[in-house]
Amino acid sequence: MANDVPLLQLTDVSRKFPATENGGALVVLQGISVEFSAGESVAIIGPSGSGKSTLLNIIGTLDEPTSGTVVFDGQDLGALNEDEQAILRNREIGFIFQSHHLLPQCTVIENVLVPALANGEPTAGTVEHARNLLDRVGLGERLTHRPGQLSGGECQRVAVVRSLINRPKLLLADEPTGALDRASAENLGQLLVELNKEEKVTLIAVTHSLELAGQLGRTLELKDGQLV
Amino acid sequence: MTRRTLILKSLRHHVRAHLGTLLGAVVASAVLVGALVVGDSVRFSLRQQALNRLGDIHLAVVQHDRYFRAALADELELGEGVAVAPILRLSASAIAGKGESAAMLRAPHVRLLGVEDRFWSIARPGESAPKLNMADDGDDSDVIDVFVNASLARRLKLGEKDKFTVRVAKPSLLPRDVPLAVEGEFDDLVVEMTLRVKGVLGTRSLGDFSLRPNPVAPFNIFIPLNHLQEKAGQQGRKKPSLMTGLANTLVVAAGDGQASANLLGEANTQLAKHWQLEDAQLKLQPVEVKQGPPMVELITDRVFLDEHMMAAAEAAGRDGNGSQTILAYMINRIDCRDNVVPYSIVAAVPHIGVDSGLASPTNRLLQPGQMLINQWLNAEYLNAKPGEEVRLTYFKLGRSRELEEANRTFTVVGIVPTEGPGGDQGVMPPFPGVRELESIGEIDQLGFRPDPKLLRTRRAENDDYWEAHKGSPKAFISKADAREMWANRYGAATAVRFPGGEGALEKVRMAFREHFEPEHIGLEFRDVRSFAVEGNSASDFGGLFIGLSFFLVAAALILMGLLFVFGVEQRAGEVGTLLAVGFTGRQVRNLLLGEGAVLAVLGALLGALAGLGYTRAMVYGLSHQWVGAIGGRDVIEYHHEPATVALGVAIGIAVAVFTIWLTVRRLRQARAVELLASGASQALSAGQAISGKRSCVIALLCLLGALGLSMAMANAQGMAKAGGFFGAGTLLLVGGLFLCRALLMRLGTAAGESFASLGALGLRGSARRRGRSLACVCLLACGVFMVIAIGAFKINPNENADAPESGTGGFAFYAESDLPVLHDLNGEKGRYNYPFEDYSKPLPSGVVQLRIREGDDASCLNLNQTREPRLLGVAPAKIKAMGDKARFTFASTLKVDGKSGWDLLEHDFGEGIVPAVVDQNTGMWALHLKTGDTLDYPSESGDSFKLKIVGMLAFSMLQGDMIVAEDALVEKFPSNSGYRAFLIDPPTDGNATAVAAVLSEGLKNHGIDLTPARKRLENFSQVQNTYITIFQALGGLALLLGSLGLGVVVLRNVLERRGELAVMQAVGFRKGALRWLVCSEHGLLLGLGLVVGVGAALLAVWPSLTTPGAQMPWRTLGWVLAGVMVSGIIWTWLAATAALRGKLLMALRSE
Repeated sequence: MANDVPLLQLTDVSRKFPATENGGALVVLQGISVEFSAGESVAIIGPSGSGKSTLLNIIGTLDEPTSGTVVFDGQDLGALNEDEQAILRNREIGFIFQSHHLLPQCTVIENVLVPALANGEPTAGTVEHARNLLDRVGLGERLTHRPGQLSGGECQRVAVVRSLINRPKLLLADEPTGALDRASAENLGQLLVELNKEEKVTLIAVTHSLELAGQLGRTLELKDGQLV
Repeated sequence: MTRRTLILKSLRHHVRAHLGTLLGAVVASAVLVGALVVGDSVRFSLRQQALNRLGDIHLAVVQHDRYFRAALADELELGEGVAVAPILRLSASAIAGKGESAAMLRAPHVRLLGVEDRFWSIARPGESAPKLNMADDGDDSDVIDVFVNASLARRLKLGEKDKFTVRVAKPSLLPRDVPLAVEGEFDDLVVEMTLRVKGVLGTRSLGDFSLRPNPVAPFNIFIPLNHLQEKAGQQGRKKPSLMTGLANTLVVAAGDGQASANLLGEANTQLAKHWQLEDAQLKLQPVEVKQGPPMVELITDRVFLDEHMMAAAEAAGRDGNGSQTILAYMINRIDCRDNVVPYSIVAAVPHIGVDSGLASPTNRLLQPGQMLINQWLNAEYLNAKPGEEVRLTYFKLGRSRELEEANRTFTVVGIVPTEGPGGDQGVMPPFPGVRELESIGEIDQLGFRPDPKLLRTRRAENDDYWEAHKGSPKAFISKADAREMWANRYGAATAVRFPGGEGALEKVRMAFREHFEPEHIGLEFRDVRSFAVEGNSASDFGGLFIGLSFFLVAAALILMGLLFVFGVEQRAGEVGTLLAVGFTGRQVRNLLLGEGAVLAVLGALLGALAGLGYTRAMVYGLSHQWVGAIGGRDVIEYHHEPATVALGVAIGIAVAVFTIWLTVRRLRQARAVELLASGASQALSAGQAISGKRSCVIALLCLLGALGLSMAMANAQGMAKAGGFFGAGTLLLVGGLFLCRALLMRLGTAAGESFASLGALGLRGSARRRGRSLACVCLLACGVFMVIAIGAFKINPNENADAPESGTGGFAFYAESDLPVLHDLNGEKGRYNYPFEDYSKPLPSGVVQLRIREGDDASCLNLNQTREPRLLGVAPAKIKAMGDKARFTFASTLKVDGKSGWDLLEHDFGEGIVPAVVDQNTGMWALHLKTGDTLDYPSESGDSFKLKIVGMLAFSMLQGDMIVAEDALVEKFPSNSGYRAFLIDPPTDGNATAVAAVLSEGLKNHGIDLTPARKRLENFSQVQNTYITIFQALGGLALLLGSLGLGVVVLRNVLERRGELAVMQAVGFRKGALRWLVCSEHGLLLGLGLVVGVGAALLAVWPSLTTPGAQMPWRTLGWVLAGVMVSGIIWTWLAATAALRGKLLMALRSE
């Protein structure tokens, strides 16, 4: 724990999905209470269907808890409207998905700059920041390449850089190495750990990979929607 | 990197996906631009036609049955560059060819235009006037050189120097309906002229000159004015022509930029300044008296002075030394005891005052019922003493020349000197030629048919009186009695006298001119150009074609929307990413909308180009294939205005962007998580806003509504019924679509133990994407609904056309003559005046005679907007029924005091309101009026009155005219003489040809033109039917797009499910089976669309199917439906084949 005041605080968070015709309500998360400090790196592990991604989506405002509160940097995320959530996601949170979800029509650097477009046009500083980050992840020579011209690992590195372009306080990674081969997965895991330290960004990664989890500062395990 | 570059890069990257969207936008824009440019083309063409028929002419004075001095044109000073030309315009029929009548070519409704140099200077500026000679033809007749226009030359196959004959309605200064106006003998009514073609006058040289808009070029003959005046007004070799120096049309022309802004005002000011009494056919002359003070009198060639003239004359008298209004009349007999005096003049010559300077037979005012007789009558004839009763028998002036005898008894109150003061010969009504008669017995030479027996009564004494005193009145009655007996539609005075003396003539002339407004006799310039050259069409053709193309535009847009949304769905991950990295839903939507807008703009611009081609095709179609819609070939030509194209592009962009906005608007609610999940493009599909149960409830409500509305409207009439059933059909359509929705939802959530067949599995599949599936069903159902519903409005004119309630009114023929028929042809007396083989033999069938007041053709065959439609005057009792069955069918009618339809034509709606019946198509489309509306119309006296629509006839052969009561027509247009339109009943023996032959023979000199009623109805039906054909053609195209849409949906659905289908193949399904699976899925949609559309349409058109003449074009509709079915199956099959092509199992590996 780096600081006394946590960056992110989840209190008694639950997530249920409505009843279907064939059964009762599906409880995905139940009474999750946990805190994350600024700058720490945390791995969330657990079997499929344990609610890892749902938890990550709730933290990233892509989903809402059925009950409980999520406070990020002093803000109750449940009190934010859709637009405020989008702004928060854009400025304070970076996302990395199992699939890179790069825009095929854009070049590497353009893909990195896409989040900046939500606030208008990217500034020269942002562009410079993008170049530096891409240099940092070893893609300095591939700026004008399109996703179709990159390997899966490279695409995922671009996605990592994209997630950091607006200097977020929190980086959320959902199975970031899930679609990569072993070597690429190792490299990406290493990169995430290094960036966590260099950019002083809190990293929460959902993963099945115990190797990646081992590289992060703390590991939380979810089982049947509860932290164990 | 900006949002703009992101949009442009996305467009470039997804170019293939966007091509379909672009194509949809192109089609929508092309159709919109095309429709608007059709409007441009019509406006332009009408403007060109107006310019062709008017040249540089701006203003015109057009008189009906009146004439003014041609020299008036010389007196108007309108400045440099402005020409004024007089024209004598007469109706004629032309005949070319010799020998058997079969070899002869005839042209009815020919306009013989007497023109001179000033007209040629307008028609052919810069060229000298052509020399048109009149020469002796060698067989004691003259031949006159003339120019003809191209359409007449074509009709009669005339070339240069060819001779042909015209029969011209001989102009009469006196309305033909006035007894004593010349009548009867053909030679008295018609003058025949031999003409020789000097040349064919082209369109640019005013060959098609006409002051009225008409889609068809007129038949014009240009003849020297002086020759026409001489020939048409000839009264015999010794007498001068009646028409010498006269004209009835005056045109004012000015070249570009030479007309002053207030040309109309200036011209009318000049007219008011220069008109003379002669221009109103008035004469002011000294009265020749043997006794009494000198006087001057105002009389007219037309015998009776109308109310405006009387008012002005009396006002002139008040300004001076007084006036005396005289009403004299020829009565048939004077009876006292057993004594009878035939054919005498009796007058009201009121006493004005002892020192008034005006003579009167008595120094006191006669009271009603009192009579003074002159000494001759007393001494020679009646021997009546004061206090004795005397009976006057006279003809009342009726509607036409059919004279009705009436009588009234008076008490003799005094005896006055023969030809004494106020009883002079000048009192006699100024019937043409009467004053020149040598004996009263010669009165029959004037066309008046005296009773021969009566005429012989004491003939010698009467001849002596005539020789000594001419027509000086034999008796005098009060002004009130005279007005009551003899006032008629032409006027209530035969002269107004003023005190005479030196300078009296000039003083009275000036005073009269000051009080009389020449516009009361139609002597007024009207602007004939401004309205015409604006190219106003009867209907907004741009709007009309947008309406006709509506479904095509809608289909293109739906297809475009579908394709765009498919493109967006393919990019679900991209959308999810943008949302995840902090874009708001609105921002993402705007990015996609930006892409859509670029496509819309590009599509609209390309569409504009395609639209111009589309318009050319439409114009070609209207000029060739669909010529029935506009009344003639080459009526319209292609033209576009840049502003219109720009407007079309703007509308195209707007509707395309709006459609795209509709498809992407729900992105606001899109959730990144779902979008990013693998294969979660469904997240962008429409939400389940309405549950299956609710869909069922809505469907049930709609079906009940449709049923209720149909039952409620079952006994309604006309438009209410049609509207009600159309509403019911629409409700059924909506209900059916909700039912389809419920069905698809039911199929989608069905959870059985197993599938009965592969088809059943397919049906389940069709419910997976309800939004798309419903869009397809909706597109097909709406298309089928519209095409069938509109198709039912096609009219079969031959269906039930003999029935009285049909559009023919049960008549067998409609006929028009060039010359007016002055008598009732149904009576022997009437037929006596015409060359029937045996006038005493009744006609094989009844004839309803109608008066015509010329006006604009307001039928659907005329594209021009009409302001003054032609009027038909008919006695309502004669047209309303055929036996006990009502003629025609009223689509709508007012109901007043228990009266409706034809009966309302004689209802009193108040001062200045004339009830009228009009064909519904004419009322709605040409005049833009509905039942109860009024239309301002100028009367003969220049006053305006209101035509009130009291009823509208369902599709009838009386299109283009407004029908009023005959009495009302002659009241408003007293000069209107005779009947020129005829409705002819079918003969009892069914031999229609014989009727036509009898009437053609009897009225051959009148230029009769008979058209079978069915044929006339068919011509009118062509307009409506052609528009429906166009609509169906465009609707069919739209349905084709609809079925193409179905194919696209199939392709998309299958591509999305390649993995799933690969699994099926992996477990043993053959490709053919999979194709069958896919086709059965979408066959359901095709079937649902057709069933819902056809069912709803049949309900909607139920009233049309039961209307006389209307008939469901089952065969056409069968073809349409079969076409849609086949097209749908083909597209589905092609799409399924394309999607299943290649190694399907590869899809499993890529999963």
